Amino acid sequence: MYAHKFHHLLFGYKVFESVEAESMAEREEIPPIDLVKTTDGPQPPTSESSTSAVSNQHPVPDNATVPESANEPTASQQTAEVSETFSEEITIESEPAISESARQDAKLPDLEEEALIQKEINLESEAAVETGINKSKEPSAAESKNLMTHGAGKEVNTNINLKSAPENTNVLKLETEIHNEYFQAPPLGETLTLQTHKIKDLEGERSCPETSRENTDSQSDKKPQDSKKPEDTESTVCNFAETKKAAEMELEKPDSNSPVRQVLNALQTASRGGFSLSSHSRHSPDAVDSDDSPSALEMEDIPAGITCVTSEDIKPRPLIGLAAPPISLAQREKMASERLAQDHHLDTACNTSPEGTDLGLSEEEAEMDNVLTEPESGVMGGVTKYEESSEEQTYSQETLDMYLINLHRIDKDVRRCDRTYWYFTTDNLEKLRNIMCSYVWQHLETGYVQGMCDLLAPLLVILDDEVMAFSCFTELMKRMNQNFPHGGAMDTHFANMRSLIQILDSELFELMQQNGDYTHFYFCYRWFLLDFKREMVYDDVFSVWETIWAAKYSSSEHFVLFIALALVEMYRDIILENNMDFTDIIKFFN
Amino acid sequence: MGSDDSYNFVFKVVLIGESGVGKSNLLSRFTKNEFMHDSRTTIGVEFSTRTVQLDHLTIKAQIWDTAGLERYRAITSAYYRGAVGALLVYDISKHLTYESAERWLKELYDHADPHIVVMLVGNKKDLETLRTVPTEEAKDFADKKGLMFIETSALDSTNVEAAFNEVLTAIHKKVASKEVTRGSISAVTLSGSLGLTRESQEEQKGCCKS
Repeated sequence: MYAHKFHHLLFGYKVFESVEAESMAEREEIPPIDLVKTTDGPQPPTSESSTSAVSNQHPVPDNATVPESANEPTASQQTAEVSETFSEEITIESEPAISESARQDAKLPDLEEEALIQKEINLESEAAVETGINKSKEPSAAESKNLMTHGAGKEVNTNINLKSAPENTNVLKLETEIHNEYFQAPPLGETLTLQTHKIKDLEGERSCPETSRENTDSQSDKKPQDSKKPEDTESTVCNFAETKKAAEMELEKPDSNSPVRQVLNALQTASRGGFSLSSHSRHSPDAVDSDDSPSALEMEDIPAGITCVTSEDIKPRPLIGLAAPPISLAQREKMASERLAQDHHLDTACNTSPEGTDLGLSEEEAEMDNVLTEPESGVMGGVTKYEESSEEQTYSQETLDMYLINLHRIDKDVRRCDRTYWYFTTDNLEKLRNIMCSYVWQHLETGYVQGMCDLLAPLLVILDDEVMAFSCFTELMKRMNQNFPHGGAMDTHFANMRSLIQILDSELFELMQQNGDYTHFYFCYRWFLLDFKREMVYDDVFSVWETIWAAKYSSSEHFVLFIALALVEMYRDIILENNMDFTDIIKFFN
Repeated sequence: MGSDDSYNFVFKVVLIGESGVGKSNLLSRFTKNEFMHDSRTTIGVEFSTRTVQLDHLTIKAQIWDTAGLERYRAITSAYYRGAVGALLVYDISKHLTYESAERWLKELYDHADPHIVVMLVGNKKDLETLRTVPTEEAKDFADKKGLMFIETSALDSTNVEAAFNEVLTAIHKKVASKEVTRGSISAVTLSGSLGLTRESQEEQKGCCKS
């Protein structure tokens, strides 16, 4: 299940496959009512039409839990209108004024429910949700969201249709109304400012209505003219109910007791909120495209990972070379003999491993190279050191040496990669190694860097397919590359963490400064480098990765920041109580 | 955190050396008496502490372990900051890891206190049959560079205690003989809790000049 999602999320596809295609079909042929009815199970219909059933949920908790909301005239008034508003919108889909009012309504329930569900972690998750609202950046996320929902929790499957119902109506609306109004999302800094307001409010008053009022205000302050925003938030009403349910369901899971699990749940919840908030707006441009011929797109893009990569920016040949058996025996042998000479050179230097695996691997390396040799020729823009001759390429000594050094590093790390995890048998480690060797050969200018194996491992586990894992890994590395020492993203992460903590939790920030000033946040290094892969067990890694990837399209490219923030805030009391310094915190988080 | 027992000194010691030479296992052998056959690569920094008795002093060794291959520059400086001792580890069965010792030494001196106590550690002594780095060669190199030298095996525990204890003793000697500068002494922190025992003189001698 994850495998498909991973692939699509990574490549940012319009993933209509089963879920979305289905719901799209329904959307066109059947009124939304049916959509919701199909999922009535956990959520009994409360009124004649299930459309209003969806929306009815929200005014209820809204009024019930937060009576103060009545203090604000607009809010209460609008709250009362919500259900009508919603059904109107869904059926009429044309009045901006309505969506305007619904927008404000939407803010109330979402925050209130947040507060109710996630008492201890509401700060983080709201922060995340808020970013979702403010920072929605990438187009095309409803698809990923659907997929996300599909897999995120087995119990949450019912949400799919629920979500797609309001979503789709929104999409329709967006298409007809505002599909041309696509606004660049605000930069991170702006978001942070907004968050600041909000969190301060939260801390100061802990009063939902006010907070939400503040939110609406800031929201409208920010983009009063932005007619897309109403769409975003309006759907919150619907989606947050699901979010809540999802959260509840997840909390009921047997293994939901661990703190990490809790954070995860909160994050998943938050990110789902994020999706629903922003995905609509982003959905529109893409949806327009894909609605034209979704099935055609699917046929082309989805079935084969090979073509997917091709369509990105890697030319087909290397992958074909990888996927298909090596070129020709004769050619291979010729190359092999050349390579063996090289390998010998290396072996004398470093084949000292007790297992003698280096030798075995070296031979294979030769083979590996041969496989790659041919296809590489036209592709390797980055690696220019080798020379090309028309038929057989020979590579410069320098290139080969560099590759050999890299191979040696890869071997060392592959052997040590998650050996305790059941999947990594000798055979599968071999796959891991093959993929890594191929990748590094294509990115020789960067070479192998420790941590790459960790990033590849979950992909291979889930896909269990060398070719797919390779293409997904290549895609993943486009982002993750920046975090490695040769990129600059890590410093940005630290700086952002610093700003966020300073703003959101000044008490903690002060402690960090006083105890030797570890506000450089180096203790988060591994988190960001590996997308928290080392901090969690595999099953959780899948969820978190999926969330992070999907968030790129639905809420924020910087979603990792909020996971990190959630982790820090989750343990803030412990950190404060123990008056931790840098060493303590490193030890603590390790 | 973890500092329940009182101690006279905290010495920060760093482990450096190529990836895969066994730094992490040296650390776990010394601090937890564990050896993990399936240990993973170290990402970022990790560290562990162990409190040891040297003479009549209680010394808390704070040992930092980092990734051998990838060193994020910003972290590197934090890693070396305040270190008073270093174990430069190589694998006696992989000559390349030994050849890189010089490079590591340079990096160490670039970032750390010049008075830092350094020990060259040939690890994986249990792989005697696969040895490619003769003891004498390494010993000569260490002498030439003014490093301490030992061969260890984290796997069978050979010399692990000895290696760390010798380094800690040497550090303490340096501290006690006031050989170290103000800069490095600040890294050696005093336990406030044990100030009034007979060790107080030691502390005065070693640490109060900063």
